[in-house]
Amino acid sequence: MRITWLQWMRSPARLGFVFYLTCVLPIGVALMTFNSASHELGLAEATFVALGLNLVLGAGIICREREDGVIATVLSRPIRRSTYVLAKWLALALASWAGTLLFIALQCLIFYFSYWHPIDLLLILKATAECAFLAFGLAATMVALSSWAPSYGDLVLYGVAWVFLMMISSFVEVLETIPIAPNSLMTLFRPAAASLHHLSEALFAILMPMVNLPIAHGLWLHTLIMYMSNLFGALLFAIWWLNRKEITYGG
Amino acid sequence: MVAELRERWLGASADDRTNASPRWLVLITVALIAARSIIFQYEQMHLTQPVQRIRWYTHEAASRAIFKNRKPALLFFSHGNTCQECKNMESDLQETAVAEEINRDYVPLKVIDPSPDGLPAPKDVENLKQNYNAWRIPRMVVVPPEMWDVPAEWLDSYQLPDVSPGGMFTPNSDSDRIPLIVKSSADWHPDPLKVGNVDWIAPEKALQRASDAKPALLFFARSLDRHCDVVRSEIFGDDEIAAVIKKQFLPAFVVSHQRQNRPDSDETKRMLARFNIRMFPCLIVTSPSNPDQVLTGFAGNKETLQFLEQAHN
Amino acid sequence: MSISVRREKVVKALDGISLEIKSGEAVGIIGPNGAGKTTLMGCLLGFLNPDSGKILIDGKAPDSLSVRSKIGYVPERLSFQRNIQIQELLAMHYELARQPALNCRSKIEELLNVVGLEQKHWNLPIEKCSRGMLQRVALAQALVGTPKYLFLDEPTSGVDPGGVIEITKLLTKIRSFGITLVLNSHQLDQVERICDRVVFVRHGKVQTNEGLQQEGKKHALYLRFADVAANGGDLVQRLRTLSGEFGLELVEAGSTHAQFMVANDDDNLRLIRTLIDGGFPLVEVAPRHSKLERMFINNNDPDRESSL
Repeated sequence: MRITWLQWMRSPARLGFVFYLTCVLPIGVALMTFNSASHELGLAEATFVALGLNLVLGAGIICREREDGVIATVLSRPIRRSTYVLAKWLALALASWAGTLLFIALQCLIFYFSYWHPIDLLLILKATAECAFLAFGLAATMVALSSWAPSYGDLVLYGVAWVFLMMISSFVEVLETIPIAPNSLMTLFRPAAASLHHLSEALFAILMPMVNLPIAHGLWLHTLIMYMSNLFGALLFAIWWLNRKEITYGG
Repeated sequence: MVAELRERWLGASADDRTNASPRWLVLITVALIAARSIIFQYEQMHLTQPVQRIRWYTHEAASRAIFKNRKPALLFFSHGNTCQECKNMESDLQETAVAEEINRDYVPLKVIDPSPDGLPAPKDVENLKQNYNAWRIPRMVVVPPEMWDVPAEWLDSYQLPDVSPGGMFTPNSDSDRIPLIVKSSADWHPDPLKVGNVDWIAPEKALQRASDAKPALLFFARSLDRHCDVVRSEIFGDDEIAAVIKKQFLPAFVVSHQRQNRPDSDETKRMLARFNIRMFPCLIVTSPSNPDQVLTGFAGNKETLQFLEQAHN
Repeated sequence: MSISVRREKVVKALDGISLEIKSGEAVGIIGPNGAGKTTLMGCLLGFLNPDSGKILIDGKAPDSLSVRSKIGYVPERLSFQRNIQIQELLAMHYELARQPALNCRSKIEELLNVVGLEQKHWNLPIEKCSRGMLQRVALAQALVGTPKYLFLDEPTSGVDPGGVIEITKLLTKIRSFGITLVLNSHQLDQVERICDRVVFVRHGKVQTNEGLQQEGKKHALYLRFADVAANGGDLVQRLRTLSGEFGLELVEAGSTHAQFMVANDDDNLRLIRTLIDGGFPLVEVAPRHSKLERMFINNNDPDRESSL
């Protein structure tokens, strides 16, 4: 985990992106969204910072090492492949959450020194918790994609999945809103709409594993089960795939 | 024995192999997926008949309740039972706490559009869809009492926000449950002290302090009027015009809500009657000794500046 | 172990390989390109799974934790984590090898001294290391945790001749620690110097598996003589006479050189003594090919005459 962080800190490209997302973006967000009348801190953007950090830092997190042959020397050590995957996941999750915390802290500082108005602590705690959920969940998704895809294919796969999701959502929208004559062929597609709707919801939950707080009364178990099943499922998939993969380490 | 059990079930693996999946992770994931499947099945079984906690109004009853109680309307546009997404959204609304709040603070009205089933929509449903831009269903709209039953052409470009749950870009939503915040009516009734770059004062004060050297400049506007909006933001937002007004006039801004279900204040009524205002927007320059100078309708920056210079001279 | 591996449906990468490597032994694996040496190495390390058969190291599968803690591995492709320094890389491997953190720094420095890396390079980023330095770093990381078994895959690939000599010396030194070595290399003289036994692999099968001290087949001995004119007499005629008289097998003779077939060291000694006693102006004696070269050539083309 430490070595992964060290590598990120010494990579100029990644460090540049992280600096932009965590230090430059708060200023832009402050200019666009700060409103002293409503005391809007603009913390909703923290979600996108967590997403951006996960993608920037997580690109090629496992697949790059596998393609380069680096993984062979690591796995020749007395270390379980599952430990390797879990360490990568933790490193990515903690790093992106830390970056988001930095973003939130800077946002609050700018707000406070602009308006000299006390900041709603509950709002900050809420944003921090939501970003933690997203950071850990999305890190699991990235690690799962990375264990499977070839070099930097995890990033490409993530983008392709989003495009696919948009296509399904649009199709479902069309199916559910356009008037369909009772005896037309389009009625055959009606039952598919419900299934596609579920598929798009499931895919969205994997691509953006969020938990919006506060969770409505009676729904907390449902929400947490959905989130945790996605997270652990992704991790298990990553471990399972790496376990069965033969390491080609030659030239 | 405890240590042995712990190692067996919580340790990464009972055996020595590097490519064994951690047992604890497998067990937790299987349990979660099983729980998820059970929840999904339960939802499927119970979604067809959502518990009805919300007391839906009919259209006529809703109109009466809105005007009597001055509560906002909560319009829920749905395609009915054939639409899964609509059923999902309605079941969200029927959650106990949410339903209680809706019943208490809103006038809920369910608008069913049966067109996906090939049936024609009733006229009032079409009107409501048009009024509140409900082309993507399901959709929820919160309508302040002032906006209720306002003709559609007046509502053009005054879009009410989509407060449907789950929308990624839903403004002011705190969660993916119902955002129980009514968009502030301040948006629809612009603060007279903050129109453009001019420092407006109260109309009565402007009239009292007006002199021949520094006459009163009265700007009459009404809400839900596009021309008035443009004059407000573009004409009085112009720095040159604002500087001229500041130097040479005592500006006052009077807004009428005649296009909304909201009575004008007494002061507004007096001002409208005194100057016999029939058209909006309307600019009047008045001073004790000189006749009133009037500019009605929309005029651009140049014409407005010319009017002001002539009126002052 | 006795294993078979089928890589793709039509290619059998390893076919019925059966090997036993004793503790403390140094075994060289040689063979032409595409013989399956890399695949064999992968199987030994537990990176590749044989379709049939079993591999056991100390009685356990190679991919078990206890075995992994006893092995060191030098890959052919020297890829290490980017953006880190040499000492950091070794510290990472030290931690992965579950060594006590207390002596980490001193142990790493000791390893870097063993592999002969200069102190001024110890904090160099991996990307700035030369090929030779990377080989030393690879050896150092393989030695982390004092392994019992060392697997080396082309440890001198791409290294200049000076570097090859240095690394060969290093491996000989490592060998003296009693570590079991499995060396896959195309440098035959290196294998000959370091290994006790050599396994020749071709088309996925073991062709030869013999100790390097074993007597080989008959091979050609090359001899060079001083200028005959100065020494008088027809060299070729004299050599022919001598070979007939003393039962030596003359293969080729020229004005200043000749080749005899010999089977072993005794034959060598007899030939040399006979030539010197016969007054021949012998200035150089050398085998035409090294022992492993002969093995390589013979195994690669078994139909070729042993005139070599």
